[in-house]
Amino acid sequence: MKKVELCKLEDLEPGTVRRFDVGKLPLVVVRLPDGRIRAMRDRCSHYGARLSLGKLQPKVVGDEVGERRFAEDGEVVLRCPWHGYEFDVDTGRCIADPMHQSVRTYRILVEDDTVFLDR
Amino acid sequence: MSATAPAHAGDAGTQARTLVIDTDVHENMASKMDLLPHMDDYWRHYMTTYQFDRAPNTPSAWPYAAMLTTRGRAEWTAEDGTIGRTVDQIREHLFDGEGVTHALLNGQFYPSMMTGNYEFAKALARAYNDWQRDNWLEQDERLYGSVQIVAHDVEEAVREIDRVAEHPRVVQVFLPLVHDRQYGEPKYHPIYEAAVRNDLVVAFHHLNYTQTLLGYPRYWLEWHTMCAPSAGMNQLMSLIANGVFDKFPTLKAVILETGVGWLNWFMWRADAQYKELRMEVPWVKRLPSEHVRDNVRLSTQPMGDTTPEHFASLVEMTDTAGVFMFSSDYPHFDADSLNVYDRLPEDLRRRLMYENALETYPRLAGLAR
Repeated sequence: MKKVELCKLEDLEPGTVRRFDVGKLPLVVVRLPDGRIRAMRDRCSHYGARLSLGKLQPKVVGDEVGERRFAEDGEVVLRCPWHGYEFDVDTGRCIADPMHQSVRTYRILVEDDTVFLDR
Repeated sequence: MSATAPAHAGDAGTQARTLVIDTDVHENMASKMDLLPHMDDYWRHYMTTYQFDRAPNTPSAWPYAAMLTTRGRAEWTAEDGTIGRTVDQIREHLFDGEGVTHALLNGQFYPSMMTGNYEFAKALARAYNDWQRDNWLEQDERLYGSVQIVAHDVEEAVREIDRVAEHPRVVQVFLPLVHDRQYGEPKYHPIYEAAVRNDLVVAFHHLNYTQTLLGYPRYWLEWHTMCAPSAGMNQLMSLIANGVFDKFPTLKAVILETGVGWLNWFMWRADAQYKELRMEVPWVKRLPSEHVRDNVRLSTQPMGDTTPEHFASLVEMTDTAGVFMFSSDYPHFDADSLNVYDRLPEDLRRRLMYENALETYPRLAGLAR
């Protein structure tokens, strides 16, 4: 496996959504509110929008009509800036259509306060 | 009975005042975002995600519709949050960015939707037509325009069409898709006659005032799914059933932003019904599907309704390759880029990109080479 340095950990505040171009790979890296870091291809599976222009948002859940709340476990989604598709930051799958819409995810390593893409 | 007002800090040194109680005073927010600190997490999230700060400051019967014109694609949104405000933006985003060569401007200001003060509506329509000419058409020869009218006053509408059509790059008369008027009715026919006389098409587009069969449903999801295509279908059926295309066989009606998937169903359904009920409308001389192929055009956005492969199949089923025309819906968040059409067969793609538009809009004919 090859490690590609992306940035210093201090350059990724919680809540940050940031694009990196790793060779020909467009990568969007997000730092979740709890500090974890996730990465996926910076190209929406719908029409190819840059997910790095989107927003990290709490996942909205609910069961009864009129019931809306944020997921109790603090789960967040990356929302596409074009049509609003919500992507699970762990799996890369679209919340509304997980079988047909997904974005490839990548492993991130943090060593010595440095963030690496693990290819 | 009389009473005096209790002492107030601001009244220092003045005499006691008799009570005066004002029962109607209006405080105002700077914007609805002033309410965020007083809302729970979800509604703060909802307000900021859908950018309610840019919508009118009053809650209305259709709160979600108030926001539908305010969200642009991220790359097309200026730093101040505005979208589609300048010719330079269209040059940068559409002509240079997307590869579009010519743009037909439909605006987002349809005075024909107004249900009162028609004198004001007409003044607004005239002013908008002149504003569009001066600020857009005269600034770039790649831009083409519309005639906004107020359909309730057909005589005035016809005069306005004749006036504005003097500009060579005005290509269409514009009517909003609404739920409370039937545009096929004979009283509107002079509008179509004026369009044909001036080599203009008639274009239809929904906006905030367009309701669904259920009025304004509970959720924006419902409205955004059903409103435009259902309004388009209903007005199209009105045009057909009232003999508009029989009376004006060269008229083209362009229905905008309703998607593409509904047309096949409509043609099959309308044909079946016409065969059963023709006696009621003997002035309709042709099958509805024949009128659709000859007189009706649909803009393609949102193509997300279907895949390119499915779309090509739909077109083949009903021989409607000549009906559809590319549209982006710039600068809105759910616009289509040209890459959406990459997987179409080349001949169908070419028809969508320009051939059908050249055949449809008489005033674009000069662009053909």
